[in-house]
Amino acid sequence: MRRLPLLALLAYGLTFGALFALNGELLVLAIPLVLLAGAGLLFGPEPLDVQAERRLDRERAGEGTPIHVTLTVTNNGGRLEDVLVEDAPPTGVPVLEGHTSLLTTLGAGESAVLEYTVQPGRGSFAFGEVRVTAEDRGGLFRRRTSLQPAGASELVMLPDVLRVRRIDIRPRQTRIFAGTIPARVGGPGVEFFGVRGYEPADSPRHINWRASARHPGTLYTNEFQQERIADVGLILDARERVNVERGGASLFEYGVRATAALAESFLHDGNRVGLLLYGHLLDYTSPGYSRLQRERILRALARARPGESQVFDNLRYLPTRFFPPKSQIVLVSPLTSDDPDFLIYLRARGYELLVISPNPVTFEQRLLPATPQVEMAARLARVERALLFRRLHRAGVRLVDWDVDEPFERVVATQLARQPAFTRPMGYLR
Amino acid sequence: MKLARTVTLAGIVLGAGALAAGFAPDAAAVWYAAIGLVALLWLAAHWRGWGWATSTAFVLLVALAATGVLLGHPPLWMAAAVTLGMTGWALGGYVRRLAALPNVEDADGRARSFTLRLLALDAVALVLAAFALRVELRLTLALAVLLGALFIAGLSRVIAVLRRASV
Repeated sequence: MRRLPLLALLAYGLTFGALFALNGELLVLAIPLVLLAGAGLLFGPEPLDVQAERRLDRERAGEGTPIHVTLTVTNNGGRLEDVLVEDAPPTGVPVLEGHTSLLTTLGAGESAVLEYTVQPGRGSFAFGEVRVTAEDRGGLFRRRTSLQPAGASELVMLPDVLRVRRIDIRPRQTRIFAGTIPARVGGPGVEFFGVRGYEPADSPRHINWRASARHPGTLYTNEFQQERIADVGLILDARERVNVERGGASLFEYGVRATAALAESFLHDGNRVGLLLYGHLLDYTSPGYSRLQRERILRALARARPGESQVFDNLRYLPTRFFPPKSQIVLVSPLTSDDPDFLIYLRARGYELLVISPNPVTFEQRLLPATPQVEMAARLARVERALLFRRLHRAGVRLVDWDVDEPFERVVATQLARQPAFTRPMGYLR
Repeated sequence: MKLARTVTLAGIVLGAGALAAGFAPDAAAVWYAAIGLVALLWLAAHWRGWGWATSTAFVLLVALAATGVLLGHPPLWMAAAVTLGMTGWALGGYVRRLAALPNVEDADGRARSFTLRLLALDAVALVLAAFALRVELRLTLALAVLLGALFIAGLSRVIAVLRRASV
């Protein structure tokens, strides 16, 4: 019960008792209670007229970076003897240093400064309203207000971006601008493509003298493969059912970092990159180039959370119209046994498909006690996964089974930086 | 906050002591037992930080004091008990509040100034109580009607405050 009603009830109870019992001495007992209420009224807070401003030393940073928050509350009203200022940092964000609340005294025109340091992980975080509570020391009279401070109210913590080597992709269709991806079309370039008859505009330096010597009277010239940029569609599987989370570790986080590294690499090579987060909702970042697109993708990845949806429970509702025909699609997903059908369908539609699959079996096994049952279950899961991979491999899907204990940079260097040996059509059996 | 804690404990103990002293001349043992129980409850609540229990103990102390007055025991002792108990109740609540907050600017200074303010209030309350017990007023009809009107107006305010507090 609040103190003021209790005190008032006691004082009135005594007064009523005195009147009822016709005993004036009872009224004497109410004197200290009335005096305490009077003191509360005298020293109690006036109507609140405060303003607040919040500053962050950075509004955008890499995950885990300490962020210093400064909140200044200014009292434009009368003196507040005891005023409690409470800032609302984002839920679940640990406070490294300092306090998010302060009990102080604010005279007219005075300001109180609250400083603390938070260390959020990846995500987009919103600060809440500042709560200001003024109260007399007896706890009888209280005034409270919540206000939206001026200045920063949102903090974006981007995922760590790993620098990886150039990833070798060969989509069936490229864009017209020069880039680094072999375009399967002859023309100016570096990589040898073929030999054709010499034409007057060809450079004499590219004449293939050996071929020309075998056919007197005819000159042949070497042709090189054109290198262009391509459309790359990144898909991050954010379905809750494929995520493994245990003891604070989440497989999804590895997927996010891998996607960030892939986006960085593809954009660095000049490609047109888009991102689709497929999970609770479809969060689509339309394709684009350059550093602005990098920022858009990283912000989308910062927001990414695994989620459940009955509609997007299966990959078959993945909207292919987001990705240009015959372009490169890179799917980052642990994969489930339901997924291969749709991936094979994508291959059949002409998309070049690269699947980076963080291995959920090894990830979960390391977090579990090493018992014979766990070992047996892991073996079965590995067999199931191997069958799934074989099926996709036969359909011409390029696969990377990523044990997340291995650094992603190394995975890229060993498995993605080379041209794949196979480019088989769908349905080809070894 | 050492001074504030000491004064809180002193307020509880002396309040119960003043009550016992007021009942002393010719009281049954049951009253002493009741006072002892209230004091124990209050001290335990203060030690454990139970705000609701300290308020309950304070209400019980005031009720015992009122009963003592109605039974004809010395009203000044009873007023002293209520005054000291109120000090323990108000100061204890403030000390608990300060202790619960992680970041208080000059907590010791705040507790000290409130302690001194309460002690001054106690002195004024006791002087007023002593003065009130010496003054005799004839309650005329007009004064009675005025007091009754004030009582009703005040009661309606209390009810309004209670309704607001319960929302």
